[in-house]
Amino acid sequence: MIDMIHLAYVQVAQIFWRALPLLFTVFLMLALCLPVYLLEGRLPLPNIALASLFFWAMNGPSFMPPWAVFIVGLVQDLLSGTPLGFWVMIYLLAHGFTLTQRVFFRGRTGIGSWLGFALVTALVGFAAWLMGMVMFGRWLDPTSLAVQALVTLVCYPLFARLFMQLRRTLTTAPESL
Amino acid sequence: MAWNSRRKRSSGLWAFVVENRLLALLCLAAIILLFLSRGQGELTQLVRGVGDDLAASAMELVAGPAAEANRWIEGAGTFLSVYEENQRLRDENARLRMAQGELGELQRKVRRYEELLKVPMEAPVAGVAGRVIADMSGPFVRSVLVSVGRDQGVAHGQAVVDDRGMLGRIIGTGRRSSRALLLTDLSSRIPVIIEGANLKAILAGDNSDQPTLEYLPPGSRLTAGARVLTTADGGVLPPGIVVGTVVRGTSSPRVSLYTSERRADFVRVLKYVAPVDVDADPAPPAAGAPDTPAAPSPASNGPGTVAPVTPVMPVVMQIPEGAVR
Repeated sequence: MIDMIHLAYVQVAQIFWRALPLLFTVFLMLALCLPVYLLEGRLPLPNIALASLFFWAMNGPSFMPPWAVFIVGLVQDLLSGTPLGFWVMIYLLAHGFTLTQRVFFRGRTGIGSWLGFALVTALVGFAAWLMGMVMFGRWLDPTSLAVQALVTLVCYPLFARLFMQLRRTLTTAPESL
Repeated sequence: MAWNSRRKRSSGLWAFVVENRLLALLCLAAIILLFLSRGQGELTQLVRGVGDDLAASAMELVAGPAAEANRWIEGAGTFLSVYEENQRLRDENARLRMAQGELGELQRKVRRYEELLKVPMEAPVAGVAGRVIADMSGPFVRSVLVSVGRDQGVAHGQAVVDDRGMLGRIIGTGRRSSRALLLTDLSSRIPVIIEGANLKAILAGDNSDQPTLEYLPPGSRLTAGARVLTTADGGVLPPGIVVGTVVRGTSSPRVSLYTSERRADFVRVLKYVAPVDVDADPAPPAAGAPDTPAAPSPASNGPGTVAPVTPVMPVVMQIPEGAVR
């Protein structure tokens, strides 16, 4: 009996442990929604969700499985007010694309994965622009999306460092799998 | 990695889909979700409301410190220009002091005219105060989360204002939070009037900081700096809320807004109900003639309207001069 309870406890702990990257990503997404404006809000905020998805797809897809990607997209839809499923779709495709390209970018040093992220960001921006025009049924100015993609790209190394720290903690701690 | 070894065995899109069945299934779910939520049905609204409430409960905890941080950042920005700012404020203060005397005089005059003309007093619009707790603006939709919801009587379509002017309109409500669509959003359209020129227009957002003025009468002339206010046209917004000032745009005139999500902290959601009066039927309806307009009773005519001149009605006040001669 005690063994079973212990086993259940371990399993719950493991699920929580594996969900930490997801929880951390959602936390960061919420933090970016705070009504605090650096630079007087002249620049759009980076797309932290995309940075996180790319990082985990490259450096440990088991920590960000497809269902977690689904949740991240759903949170983004709920927060930003886009039709439910909009970012879910784009993020799932981005996740899939990153997985197929993983062999090319894996093991490369900073700049290599950064270039990979540049490619994914560009594709996601383009896809979001096209899908946005279909969804909203009118011409959209691509400038804001392009500027956001650039800001995300510039901020990526910082986020990657943050996530790398989390990954190190997750894989080296005794509870890790 | 197991994933990699499997990948080497087969290639192509189909193989990838087969290997990542969960991903493919979730993609399918996303498409279904997209079609279901496209119609913005009641269920979608409900889900969004619950989502907003969840986000709000987390954000409310840090709304106070966030506003304080904002004030600090703003303060740091103006630190170097304190002297110029002080001079500017001194000048403005002197000008305002002069204007204040005139204002008092004008207010007395207007009140007296209103009494003479028996203008019905406008009932003050009730409202509920809340706080902007999150800025949800993305590349597509520009909206903020406000800390009051259905429980406080907030409903779809109500205007959100702060001490400077209008910020936006409520587009979704949760129990304790609601979402306001900013005037700058791509889908924001509100009826406005331009002071001085007395022209009506639609203020249309286009995701830039300055919305455009659309549906202006052709050939109308505007002066830059004229104030733009809301009108009660359509019965959506209370009349007379300041929105911004007219500025010159590249193709069409634009409006520089008085407030924005960057400045708004405490806001007020106005529970405006458009007054719709139905006058009592002046005469028993003539049988078989529902299309003929009812004879206007003198009481229903406002001071500004011109009554059609009928020989039986001794309406002296409202006959235009030209008609008498």
